[in-house]
Order: sequence, then structure tokens, then C-alpha cells
Amino acid sequence: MIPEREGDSLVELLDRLLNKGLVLNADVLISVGGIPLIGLSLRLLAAGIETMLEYGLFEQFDKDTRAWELEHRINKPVLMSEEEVMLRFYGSYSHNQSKTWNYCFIYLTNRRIFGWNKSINKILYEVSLKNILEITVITNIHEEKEREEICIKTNDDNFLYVHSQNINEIYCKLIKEVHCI
Amino acid sequence: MSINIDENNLKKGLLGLVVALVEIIQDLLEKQALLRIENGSLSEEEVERLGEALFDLQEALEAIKIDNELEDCVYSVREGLDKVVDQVIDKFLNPTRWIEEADKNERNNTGELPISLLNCEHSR
Repeated sequence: MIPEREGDSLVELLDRLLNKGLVLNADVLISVGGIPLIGLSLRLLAAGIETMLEYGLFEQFDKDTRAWELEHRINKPVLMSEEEVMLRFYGSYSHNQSKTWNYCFIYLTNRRIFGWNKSINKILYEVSLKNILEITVITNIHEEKEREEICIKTNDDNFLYVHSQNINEIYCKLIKEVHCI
Repeated sequence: MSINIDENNLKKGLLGLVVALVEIIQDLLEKQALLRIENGSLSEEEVERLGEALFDLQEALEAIKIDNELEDCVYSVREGLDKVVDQVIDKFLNPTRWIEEADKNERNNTGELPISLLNCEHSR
């Protein structure tokens, strides 16, 4: 039997490297005018954690990190009392007419709509549903292509634009929640 | 090997390259995550958290790709890289090809010899 080989991909190659582990030793000498000035002795070890653990490396590190995360991990934004998450989606938002679009997970609750950054546990912006005057779906040009965005007008004359994949579902839910208030 | 970035659309090309690299890292992380889960070294809660985080990452990447119309760009970069890897591995696994290629180069005699592993051997 002749071994056969299908097309390899970069990911598979890297995966194999990580599973086996990679050791690199390098000595570097930086010299000026033939006089050595700085020496670097580099040692690199790259492998998947499972491989590392097999060789008895990173054991304590792995244990400590997981224990710490178990205690301190924040998975959900802090909600007000009697607040309930109705919809959670990934999308982008823009304030007023600024050109920048910020991406984050956007939460729609029965009280407000807000964008939340998980890694820093911070609410990036929020609009209380009772401050909303008008909600419309508008067609805007983004990256030379037309797309639909939700335009939210608040009672302090500010505009918030929200974009995501399933804009109609978000629009319907948002209208429903605003009417409930 | 060449990665073509359209100079008329530098932003898109550059963003596509970055997203392609992030995607490769993401695929790699997914494979390693699966390995950890299969080896049973994680608790149930940790598995759930890991799955959720990887899913969020995937969702975010997809949204960015669609919003900026990067699908084609990312696809071509990834395919280009895969092809290079495939060629290099092919050469390593089949040393006879080196000779074939060297012969071909001599016959063509274009004056400009591509650097191959065989040529390196000769010069020593």
C-alpha cells in the first residue's frame, strides 16, 4: 500500500506542531564594528497545553489560572432589579453621525438596550427604553453598499444607530419592549 | 509565495489579512480545546465556558467579515497559505521531486534558477 496524502492546510500543520511540541534554541550576538555588545540566549518552547502537561510543564500555571478564573470570572453584565434579558446579539453601534462603528455584544432587556464588553466588564453605552422617542429602520450606505440599520432617537435629541445580521427580529423585539413600558 | 493585496483597497486587503490570521489562530484554538475536552482534564463548567467563548469569537468574526465584505479576501489568503504549506510538505515527503525539478530547471535554462533545497545541497 502506498500512503496517500490529501491537501494539507496550514492549520493542520500548526496543530501537528503544537501536539508534538516545538523547541527552539538560538544564540544571538549583536556587534558593532566587530565588537560584540549585546548577547541574547533565546529558548523557545511551544506546544499545546495538553502536550506541556504530558511533559510535566505548566502544571502549576494551568491549575492556578483555572482556579482564579473559577472565582473571578464574570459571564453576565450586572442587571438592575427586575431586569430581564430579552435578546442578546453581536452587532455594531454608532453614536449620532460619527463614522465609527463599535462592535460588541448588545443586550436588549425590558428596561434598556446596552452594549457590554465582557473582557473589561464595562457597559459601553446604554439607552433606557423609556427615553426612546422614535425607532425606525433606515437604509444607509456602508462600505459602498446599502444596508439596513436601526435608528433610535432619544428624548435628548441624540441618535443611536445599531446594525446586526437579523435586523428585523431585533426591530420587532425592540418595538415590543418599548410598547410594554 | 505571494499574498496579493489590492493597492486600491488597502484597508480591505489589510483587514482581510488580519482576519485570515485571526481565523487560523481560532481554528487552532478550537482544535486544542477539543483535545483538552477529549482528554477529560476540564470540569463541566469549564467546558461550557470554553465552548461559549469560542462560539462568541466565531460569531464576532463572521459579523465583521460580512459587514466589511471580506469573505473573498479572507478565503483567498487562507487558500494561498494552504497551498504553500501543501507544496512545501510535498517536497519534503518526496525527495525525488527535487531532482525532477532540478532537471527541469536545467533544461529550461532560464538563467534564473529558483531556490530549491537541492541547489542548496550542491553549493556546499
